[in-house]
Order: sequence, then C-alpha cells, then structure tokens
Amino acid sequence: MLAPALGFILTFILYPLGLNFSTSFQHRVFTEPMANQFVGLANYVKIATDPTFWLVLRQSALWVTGSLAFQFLLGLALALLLNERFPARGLYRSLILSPWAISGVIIAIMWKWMYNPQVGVLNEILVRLGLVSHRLAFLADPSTALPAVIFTNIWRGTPFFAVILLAALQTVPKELYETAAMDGAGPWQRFLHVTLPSIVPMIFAALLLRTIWIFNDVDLIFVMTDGGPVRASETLATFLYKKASRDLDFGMGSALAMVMFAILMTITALYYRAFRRSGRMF
Amino acid sequence: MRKPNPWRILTLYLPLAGFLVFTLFPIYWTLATSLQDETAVARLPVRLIPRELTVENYRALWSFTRFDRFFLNSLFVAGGTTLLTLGITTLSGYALSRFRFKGKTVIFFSILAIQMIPLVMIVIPLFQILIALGLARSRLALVGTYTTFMITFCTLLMKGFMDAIPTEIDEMAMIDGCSRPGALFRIVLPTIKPGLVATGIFAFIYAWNELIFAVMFLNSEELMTLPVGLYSLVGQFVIKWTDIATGSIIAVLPPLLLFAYIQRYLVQGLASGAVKG
Amino acid sequence: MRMVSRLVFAFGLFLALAALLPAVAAAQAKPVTTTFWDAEPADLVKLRMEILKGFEAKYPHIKINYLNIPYAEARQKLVTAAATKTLPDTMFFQATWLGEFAAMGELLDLGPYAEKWPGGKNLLPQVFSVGKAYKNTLYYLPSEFQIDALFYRADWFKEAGIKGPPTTWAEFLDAAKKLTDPAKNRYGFSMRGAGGNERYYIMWMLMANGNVFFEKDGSLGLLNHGGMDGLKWYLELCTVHQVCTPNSVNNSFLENTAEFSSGTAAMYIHNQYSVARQIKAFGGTVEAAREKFGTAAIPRGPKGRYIAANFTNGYVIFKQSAHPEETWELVKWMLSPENDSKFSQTTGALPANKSVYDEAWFKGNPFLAVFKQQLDDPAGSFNFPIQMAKWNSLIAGPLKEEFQKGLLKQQSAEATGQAIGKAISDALK
Repeated sequence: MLAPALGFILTFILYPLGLNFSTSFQHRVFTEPMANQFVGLANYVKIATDPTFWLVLRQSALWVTGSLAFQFLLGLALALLLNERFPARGLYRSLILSPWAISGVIIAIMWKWMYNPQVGVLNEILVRLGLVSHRLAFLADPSTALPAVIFTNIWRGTPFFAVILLAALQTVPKELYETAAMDGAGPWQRFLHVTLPSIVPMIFAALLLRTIWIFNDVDLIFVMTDGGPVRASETLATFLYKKASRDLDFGMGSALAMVMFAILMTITALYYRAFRRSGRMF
Repeated sequence: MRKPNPWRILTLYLPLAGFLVFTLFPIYWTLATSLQDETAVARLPVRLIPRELTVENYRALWSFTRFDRFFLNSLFVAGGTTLLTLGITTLSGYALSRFRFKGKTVIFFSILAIQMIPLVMIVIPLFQILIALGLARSRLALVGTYTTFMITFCTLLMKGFMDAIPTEIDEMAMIDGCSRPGALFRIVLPTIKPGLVATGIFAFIYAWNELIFAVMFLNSEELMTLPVGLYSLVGQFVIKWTDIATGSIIAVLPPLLLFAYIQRYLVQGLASGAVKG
Repeated sequence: MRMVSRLVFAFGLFLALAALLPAVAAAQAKPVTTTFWDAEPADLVKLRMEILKGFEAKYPHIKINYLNIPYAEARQKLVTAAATKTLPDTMFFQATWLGEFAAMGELLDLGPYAEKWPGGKNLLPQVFSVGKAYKNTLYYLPSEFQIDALFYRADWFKEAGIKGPPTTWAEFLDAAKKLTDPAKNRYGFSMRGAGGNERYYIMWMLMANGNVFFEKDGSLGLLNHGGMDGLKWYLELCTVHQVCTPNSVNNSFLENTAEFSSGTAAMYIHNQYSVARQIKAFGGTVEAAREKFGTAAIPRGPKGRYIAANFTNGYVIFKQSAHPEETWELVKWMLSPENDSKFSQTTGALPANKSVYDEAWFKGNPFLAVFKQQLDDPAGSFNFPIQMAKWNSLIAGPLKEEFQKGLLKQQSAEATGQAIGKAISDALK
C-alpha cells in the first residue's frame, strides 16, 4: 500500500538531496566553471561567521511564528463559525477559500499595489477614516516592511487552516458529543475533551506542513519587497535564493539548504514530540 | 423568518461578516480593477467604487493571449495531480493509520524530507531526473512533480482523518468477510468524505497555481499552464494592472467553482452511524 | 578489357553519385528546428509570432520552436537550462546577463557571422561597441536601446511660473523644491530606490566626474574626480531637501511611472517605454498630452555634461545550438530594418538600424527626439560594464542595498559611496 508513495519519493528525493549534500562541500560558482573544487567545511564556516546569516535567521523565525500563529487561530475561529448552520453557507464557504486559491505571485502584486502610499487603497481608507495623519509607506519603511508582508501571508493562509479544521471538525463522530453531554459536559468541556483530541492528528499535519512551507516560501517577500528595504524583510529562504540564483554560488546555496534542512528536521522532531503526548501519532 | 437571537448575532453573524470583509476586500479590489479601463486605474483620487465599468478586459485577454490554451493545460495538470494524489495518499494514509510496523518514523521523516529543501536548489536535479526518465518538458512531468510534493501533506492529512475512525470498524467489516482493501474503500472512505474534500481541493489548488516548476520544466507554448501565462503579463518595462487583475479573476474561478460543488460534503455527522452495527 | 573496366568505373561513379545526390538534396531540404525564447510581455507575443511566421514563410525548411517566458523568471530559467544542457538556440537577451553567460562559456562568437553580413552596416555603431563588451568578442547583438531622459509635468511648471524643463542640476533642485507640497500629496521627484536604482545614481556620479567609470589602469574611477560628490548630491535630494516621494526607497520604475501619471510627482527619470504610457494617461493623444507633460535631456552636471546610460536588449546564439547557421538567419531577420521598425513602433524601444530613425513615425513624435539625441552623443553616453561576470549579481545585491541604506539614512553618503566602490572593486578581482 505504501509502495506507490515510496516509489515517487525515493525517485524524486534521493538524488536532489544527495546532490545538495555533496555540493555543499564544494566551491561551485557557475560563472567560474574552472574553479570547482572540494573545500570541505569552508561554506559552512562562511555561513556561521556571516552576521547577515544570523540576522535572516532571526527574521525567518519572526516570519514563521508571526504568520503561523495568526493563520492558525483565525483559521480555527473561522472553522468553528463555518461549522454552524446559517443562510447561504455553501456560497460563503466557497468565497472564503479565495485567498488560498490565488497564485502567490499574483497575491503579492495585488497587495504591493494596495500598500502603495500614493495610489494604494489601504492608505486611502486609513486616511478617509481619519486613522492616520499622513500616508504610510508600509513596504518602504524598514520597521513595517516585514509585518506588512506577514499580514498578507496571514490573509492568504487563514483559509487553509479554516478548511482543514472544518473538515476535521466534521469527522468527529456525533456519538462522542452525545455521550459527553450525557455525562454532564458543557460546550467548552466538550470542545476540550472531545473536539480537540479528535482533531489533533489533522492539526499536526496542517501545522507541520504549513510551518515548513512558510519557512521555505519566497514568492510573497520577493515580489513585495525583494527582502528589503535593505534586508528588513529578508528571510533565510530569500537569502539562499539570492546566493544560489543571483550570485550563482551553488556551493553556498547547497550549504544553506542543508542548514535549513537541519532546522526543519529539528522543528519536525519537536512537533512530533509535542503531539505524541496528546494523541496517537504512530 | 424568525429573528435570530442577539447572542447568535454577536457570536456568529458579526464575526462572519468581519471575516467576509477581511477576506474579500482585496478580491473585490481586484475585481473592480479588472472591470475598469486601464487609464482609470492608476489615477488619483483613489475611488473605492469604480465609476465606469467595462468587460473589455476580459474579452481582450481571452482572445489575444493564448489563455484558453493555458486554461486547458492547467485543467489537465491539476486534474491529473488531484486524482493521482488522492489515489496514492488514500493507500498510504490508510497504511500509516492502520498498520503497525517498524520504521514508521523513518518513513515519516523521509517523506517529509522532500519538502524541506528550498525549490531553487531542487529544480536543477529534478529536471535532470526528468530528462533521464524521458519525461522532461511535458505536462506529465508536472503531474509527477506536483504529486510528489503533495504526497507528504496529503498522506498525513488522510492518515489524520482515518485515525478518527476507530479500527474496530475495519475489523468488524473484515469479520463479515470484507477484504482489507474492501474495508478501506467501502467502509472507511465514505465516512471521511470531508477529508477527501479537503485533501482533494488542496491538491487541486496547489497544482492549479504552481509557477516555478511550470516555468522551468515546460519549453513549449502549446503546453504552458495558466500561472505562467498570468505571470508573463508582467514585462521588463510594462505592466498592465488591469490585465493582471482580469487574469487573476479568471484564474481563481475554477478552484472556487470546484470547491463550491464539493463543499456540500463538509457536513457533520458522516462519521456517526459508522460505529453502530 | 579496358572497355569493361571503364564501364565498371563509370557505373561505379554513377552509383556513387546516385547515392550522394539524394543525400545532398535532403541536406538542403531537411527541416531544421531552431528554438527561440523571449521574455516579452504577453501583448507583444502576437507581434513576435507574426514576425516569426514571416521568417518561416521565407525559409520553409526552418521551423521555429518559440517559447515566451515571464520576464521575472527568464534569467532563472536560462540558468536552469544551462545547467541541464537544455538551452535554446537563440534568445532575446538582456545586456546585464552578458558577463555571466559569457563567463559560463555558453555564448557563441558572432563575429565571423557578422563580418560576412552586409546588413550589419545599417546598424548603429553602438550595437557593436556594446556587443563586443566581453573580451572584445561579439557575443551579443543589441537590437534595441533604452535611453533614459527626464519626464516632467509641463503644466505644473507653468502653474508655478517655473521656466521650462530644468537643464542643470541647480535648476532641477530648485524646481523640485518649488513643486513639493506634502499637504497636497505632491512631490518634486519620484526617485527609483528599488530595483535598477544603480542606473541613475551611477549616471549622476559620472556626470560629476566627467564620465570616468574605470581609470586608465582598469581600477574603479567612479568615486574619483568628484564622483562621490555626485552621489552625495543625488542622495541629498531625498535625505536633506526631501523632494522625493515617501515610497521612493521601495520604488521601481513601475511605481515611478504610476506616481507621475497619478499626479503625485512632478518629475521622474525613465526610458522611452514610459512615453506611450504617459501619453495614454494624459489624454490619449500626443496633442493633448503635450499640454500636460514633456520629456527633456537629463539635467547637466557641474562639468556641463549630461550622461545617458545605454541599456539594451538583443540577441545571442548559444554555443549548445545544433544549428548555428539557420539560427543566424533568424537573428538577421529580427535585426532587419522592416522588423526592427515594427518592434520599435510597438514597443517604444529605440531601434538598432540607422534607417529606421528617418521614418515618418519616429520623426513625427516630439517626445522621442530627446532620446535619440542622447543616444547619438558619444561624450554624453555611457555603457554599463556588462562584461563583468558579477555585474548582474552586483546590481541585484550590494549596489542596490547600499544605496537604499543611504536613502534611509542608515549610513552617510560617504559610507554609501565607499561601500559601492568596494563592492565593484572586489568583483573586479
């Protein structure tokens, strides 16, 4: 039963993973084809001693936790709402998925336009409502650039959690609620002791994968701010992209990829530990 | 119609309205942009409600670019990915949910590994593999790649949904003479329809919107997909906001329509009744 | 006996010819496919395909496999293709990529082909001077030029009683200050602070130092002879005089254009691509637009010169190409005066053929004259060092970021200049 899945994975993953691993120990810059050579840990040392690396590491942490926390909480709230009966529920549910249904670069273009101080609609609304005295250059100000992109990411990711959690809520058998109610449990207790434990495996899957995806995501940041101004919104993923794609330094790119891989494996292990205690994982 | 009680308004309708505005305002803005003439768009003062509306942008985009071709290609790729992903991950999700065997953890971590390397470092090796397999520059290459990337998530998701169904149900079915696959297909799957809906729609949306692999792996206009076509509206020196807005609205419709159709299965209580007899 | 052997010989010869002839005929008629990529925006694809069809009609045995790529991903796709050996035969290529791909050894030397081409004489001399940038070998054939000029709101100038477009730096600053009124959401200048910002500040520095980018010994001269002062002057527009729009540090040309057309900025600098867009925004016809805006030469610096930087797109043939001869035919076709003219009229780019400038449509557009004037002035024009393998990486990285730091006052103008100079010098090693 597992064979097809494993087949795909093994074909498509061993080689790229292995290649990245081995390249990380080499000096491999495309524009210097004559200079390929084995350099041992040199790339890793460069990374560890580069202050920019530590900066973008911190910003990556902000990027992931900021986006994830709000997406999850808002998504959960929305899922609980969508689980209720109300008129035109079907239509409402379909519309609410829209942010997730749009391509990432398009979202970035849309929001960049909306954030523009001169011709953007957000500033227009803020000014008309009297909430600000002068127009805010969200993406041009280093202190608001990253939060602004995070906000867009939250907008985009909330439907993801909403739909998954909604589906998860649906699969809790009604009998469990009835039994709990008969035992005298109120709505909040039912939520804590029936709902949450049943949906834990789905939460685990959604949270873990979304964490990995957000960590590796570059499209929103690139199109909206290109990691700027001056690296104010640079994350580890965009930093890697610039090393590999712009500087064509694949040795460094691979080393950074291995570092990101290690970080994500650690996070996965932590998630696994945390969830194992509260539910049947494996 | 009886008036809803105030508590319900506060805890249900108000938040619903709030989410609606939050989610849909940017979409509304894009729609409004797509329905205006180009010169009206980058002009001050910013008008929240557009004055003159026109559908000219839609007509123009559909006819003068190859959007119809791109649309069909995307349907093929997204549809293929969804079917393949559902097929594979139903099996793998079930296996991880029901069977106990050594190495589950190892398998878990290894199917995650593919997700953990940033795209830019995977594109070249993947392309090399596809060339070796003779699949490069085809839409099948995309279906295969997208499925691979969805397997991790969808397997875990399916497993999660299946975990909520007690194994006693499978066992009872098998005692009644059902085979193991039969138990999967006839008992478990119908009960987790919401899970299938969620998994299916996410696989579809991922494949529908994916850009990087489509750009890198496809080398002919005939096979190009919609996200690439949309992104090529952004040129080196020109960018037509109205075209991008129009294209975005066209592109977002199929996933929404699909979801509108299948969301009816997101209903409480499908799991109930399964436990009885 | 001799008769027989002669007959045998003749027969053998005949057989050999009979065998060869079809092969020769086939080699001439055998269909060849050449792959052509470009990254033009979607609305130009139609024009491109028309021109390609014209080629296929003229050369029935050459089929073209055409692919249009989104511009934002074009370079990355080329890199991927180079690494996986799936490069096309030819591509509509951006000049700043020249150094990288030449250093990777992927480009074909077009010199031998160009020498034998009579059509080459109709091309502007700049085509060859830019094309030979890398190791003095013709790896690249620019087919269109983008020259920058000053766009200014003629109506605002009139309203404020300021005389015509500014012609010197001093007049420029004066006009910008007079036209800045934050209360009315109006600013004097929309500066390009994001992608591509190096084009204009390098221009400013060269105006100040007399167009010395490299010293005679090859070291960096940009900061010398007054170059640093030029940078300072330019930065201070925003940091001291505050005539720049607030979003400037995040502005690419798109935002510059939009800020101008929406009435937020009095002036900005861009190339002739903006002309069509602004005509449309300000009334739709040349006559109506003339009331509102104008184009002028970049204001002259302290040494009395303006400098216009050459930015080009053009054609290359990749070494991996299996059919360089046929591909060369395609390149020549693209560069022919009729097609060159068609492109220019639609895209707004300055053509590579001298004859096209004499055509009625060009002469009849008052906005375009200043661009041609700057292109023609050898002392006033500058070619970016696209031959540097790291040039593309520099302009996307330190050259952009250091300037932004200066704009945001995170470092002084001097520190900005030093950082920029160091980045370029390091890349020269």
